Amino acid sequence: MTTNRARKKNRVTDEQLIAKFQQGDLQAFDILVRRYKDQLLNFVFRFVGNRNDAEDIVQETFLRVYKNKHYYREIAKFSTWVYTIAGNLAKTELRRRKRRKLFSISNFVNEERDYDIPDQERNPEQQVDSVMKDGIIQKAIEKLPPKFKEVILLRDVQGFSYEEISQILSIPLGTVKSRVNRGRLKLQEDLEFLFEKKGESREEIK
Amino acid sequence: MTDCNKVKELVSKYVEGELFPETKIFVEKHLSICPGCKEAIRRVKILCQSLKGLSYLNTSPDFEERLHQRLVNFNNGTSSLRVSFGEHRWKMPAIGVATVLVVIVLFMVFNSGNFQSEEPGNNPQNSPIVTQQSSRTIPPPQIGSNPTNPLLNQSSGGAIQDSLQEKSKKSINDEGVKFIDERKETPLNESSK
Repeated sequence: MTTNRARKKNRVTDEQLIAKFQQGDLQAFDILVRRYKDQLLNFVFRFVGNRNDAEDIVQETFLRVYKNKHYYREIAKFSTWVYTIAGNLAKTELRRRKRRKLFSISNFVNEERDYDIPDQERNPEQQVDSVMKDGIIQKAIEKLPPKFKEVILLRDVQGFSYEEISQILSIPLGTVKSRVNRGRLKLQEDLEFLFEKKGESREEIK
Repeated sequence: MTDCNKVKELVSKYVEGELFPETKIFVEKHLSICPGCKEAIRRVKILCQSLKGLSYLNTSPDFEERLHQRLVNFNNGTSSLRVSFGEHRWKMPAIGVATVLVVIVLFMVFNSGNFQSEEPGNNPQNSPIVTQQSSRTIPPPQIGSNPTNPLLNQSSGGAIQDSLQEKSKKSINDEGVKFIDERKETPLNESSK
């Protein structure tokens, strides 16, 4: 424990790394990539729902960091800056898909079918393993409007503070808080199976 | 606003322990009598736990290698930033070409209307009065013999007549200049004498 804490204390901060990168240190960029690639992938994947697209968007995010390194100012945390870039790219991808969907009736039908994962006839507790549960939650997240989806992902999946989310999305703190609350209430409506009490579900089977 | 709606707005703050003591007492008092709101609180707690426990993905093993390749391409100028979305790079040039084509077509349509109105008289002037004049069948000699009417002179159309008129104008002008010059010169000569 003490060694971990000591390591964290001695660890070069993101802001120090981006400063080094701005001065031409490419190794600093590599360290930042290693630090953020997985967490960004999880954020973007939950946002767009497709792993390959998510990985492309994360690559694009780092390319933008690389190209626009001089636009970063130390007034903001590096994490909020990089999440802003990734979030904007993810939203652009969703808008592009929406436009495509307008021209493709077959896609529309398929996606509607994809959402019907919860099986009402069987006992969800017995049926749903952790992978299935993950998939159902993911589908429910995808159904959320983007403005709720982004705050839920940043708060409940990525663990950012309300203040950080406010900076990432450039929206007022009060708006972030109310969107998180409304997003959670919307999400729980689509996830009935998560909340069934043990006694209730057994009675239904009998 | 009913108490239920008020409490629903405070669900997340209550779950995260962010309520002021007075508000917390109000919420808990309501929860003790409202099973619906109590259930909402329970669900949001479970939801938050479930979201935190979602499986964690890792990037593919060649992620960094691919990224470096793209950075090399970018530095060499052989690749734009939006490589992954390259399939859509045709859109901007296509829109540009389409705009140019529309402008050209509009320009041609607009001008063809003008050409049609000018064609019968073969008149280089764009004035509608002139066009009307040129459409009339006026014999050239009459026009040429009427130097006092500038409108008819303009509508003559014949190159020979134009040159004749220019000549006559020039001669008049030359003479006039000469005449004026002579008149000017005479008093000067006289004065010099």
